Amino acid sequence: MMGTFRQSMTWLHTWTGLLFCWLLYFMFATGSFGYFDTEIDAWMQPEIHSQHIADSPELLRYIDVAHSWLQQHAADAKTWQIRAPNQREYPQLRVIANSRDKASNKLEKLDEILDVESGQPLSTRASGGGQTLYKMHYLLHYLPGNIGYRFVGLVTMVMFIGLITGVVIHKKIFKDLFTFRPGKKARSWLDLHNLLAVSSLPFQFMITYSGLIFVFTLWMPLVGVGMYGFDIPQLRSDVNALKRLVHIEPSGQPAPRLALHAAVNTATQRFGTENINLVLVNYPADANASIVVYANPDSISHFRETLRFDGVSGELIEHIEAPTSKALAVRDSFIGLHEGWFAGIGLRWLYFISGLIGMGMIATGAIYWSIKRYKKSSNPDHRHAGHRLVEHLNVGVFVGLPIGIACYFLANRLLPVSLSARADWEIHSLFLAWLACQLYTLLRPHKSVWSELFWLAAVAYMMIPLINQITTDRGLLVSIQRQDWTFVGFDLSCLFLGLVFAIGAYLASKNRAESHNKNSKQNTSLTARKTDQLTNNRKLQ
Amino acid sequence: MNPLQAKKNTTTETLSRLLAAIVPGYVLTNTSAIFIGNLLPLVKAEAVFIVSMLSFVLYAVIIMWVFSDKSVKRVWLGLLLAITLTGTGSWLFHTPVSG
Repeated sequence: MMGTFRQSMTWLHTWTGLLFCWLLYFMFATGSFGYFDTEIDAWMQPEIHSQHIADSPELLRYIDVAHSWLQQHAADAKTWQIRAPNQREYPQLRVIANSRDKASNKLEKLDEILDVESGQPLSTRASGGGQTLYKMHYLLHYLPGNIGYRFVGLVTMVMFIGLITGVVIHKKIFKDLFTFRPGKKARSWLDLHNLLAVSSLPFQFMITYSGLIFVFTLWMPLVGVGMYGFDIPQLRSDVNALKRLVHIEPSGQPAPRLALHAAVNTATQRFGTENINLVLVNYPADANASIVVYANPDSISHFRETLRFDGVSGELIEHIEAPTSKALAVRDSFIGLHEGWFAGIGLRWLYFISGLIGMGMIATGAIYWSIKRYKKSSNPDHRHAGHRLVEHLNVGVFVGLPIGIACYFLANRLLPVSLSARADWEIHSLFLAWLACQLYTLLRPHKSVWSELFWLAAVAYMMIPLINQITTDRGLLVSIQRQDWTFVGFDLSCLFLGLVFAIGAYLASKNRAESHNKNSKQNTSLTARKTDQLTNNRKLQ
Repeated sequence: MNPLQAKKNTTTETLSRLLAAIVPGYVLTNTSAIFIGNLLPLVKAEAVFIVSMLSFVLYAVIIMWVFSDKSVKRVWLGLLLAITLTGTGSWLFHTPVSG
């Protein structure tokens, strides 16, 4: 477009990055927290303790509790799901029932955590938990339907372009890994941007490309349709066959009694008590009911060994031992890599840290643009409105969003338990705090905003363990005594983040002091810079 | 050409490339993915998954070419020609051979 291939790729990298950096930063931030979604759930509902199943009779007792609750509250549902508490994602007995309301034909979903002793849902504070925080990275919140999801798919494509062009414009990608020249203004920010990007490049490519895999049916539906010569029913049935989706219609006759015990016993013998992942019942009230038991996945692709039973006789109908389709296995591996379900605690931390590095990569890129533009502008005191907007958004998003997330956690502890729509207000707190930070950037001189918001972030994160200590009986010291590593981990992580922000604040205020000293000399060098600029312009032409 | 005129031309050119990337670029991604999918020695439904996943790489390459080629005219003509070729090619796969 302009000059050489590298120059046009630089142009593409700059503009895709600049236009979407804040949204991408939001996606990276909320998505990274998603790697600890279950742990955040646990922390945000401190009334609930995790359950554990010891042996097979106990598993049957859990199944019975779930069964009788579902029988009472969702007898004619389309499907029931029973999650035994023997996996990271489900630390308690959880039941889900999907029904279709006959009058309005709308899908209805019941989703409860049951107390095994009373057989009733556990009472706890209403909270969005880690799930709402994590879902924001692809739903963007407040948006109706799947608009957010569609848009995120588009932005992910932009990120993909940004990554490829970012690699292409590098002459020496390996050297960048060892290059950091601090104290050189724009050059230092570029070095930092490169350092963060190159060191985490495999993760960034994996997370972006696998993100695209989620949306291919949404954004590339015509590929399949076209290959089937627009014969959509045939495409659908072929894909279902590939996925081994068996569709059994309800008979309309009532079922005598579900053979849950027989099915679960057979599955336990096959998988072991600790490996029962999900018990799914299709049409539980119908004579054509079927029971499907899934084993815990043991691979990246999240493939689950599956047993399908006749719901009434408990007879084994089908046993799926291994994935049948290679193409599906490839897709599932991408999705599994993105979700990180397979990751143990160590790898989970690596995922989280890689996500944070991604945030740093995006932020340093945007800051580099702004500083470089600042140096280029003929009169830094009267900058272009677009440039000022970038400056405000940079600090408002890169520091304001983490402050918002801290407020989400604080609101969880501070909002009254009886508040109606409490879970919604937790989220509103996040966005209101973020908005307040954004407005604050308009009120204060740009040079001091960075350090001030960094200080605020530091205080906000350090407050979290303190408020937790005061408002619950699960403070840091108690958690250490109880060896409750989820709570210990959460509180310590907040303290650590607070410390990181404090260091950021210190560096920002130091930087400000330095540039203040330079400013007095700057006026004399202004003319010199203008000559520089002219020569630069000439070079470009 | 005065500098203002030059700037205006660049803007028009950029918009033209953007449009090319979004509309014919997207169409070419689909037609070429379908074409490649038909060539793959796989069960059809499996090939659908593979080329659908691949299509994002195709699109990225197309976008990069749209923004890097020196001539905007060549970009548009190239896209249209490639769409015609891959589109016709894919269509031929669905035409039953007579006899």
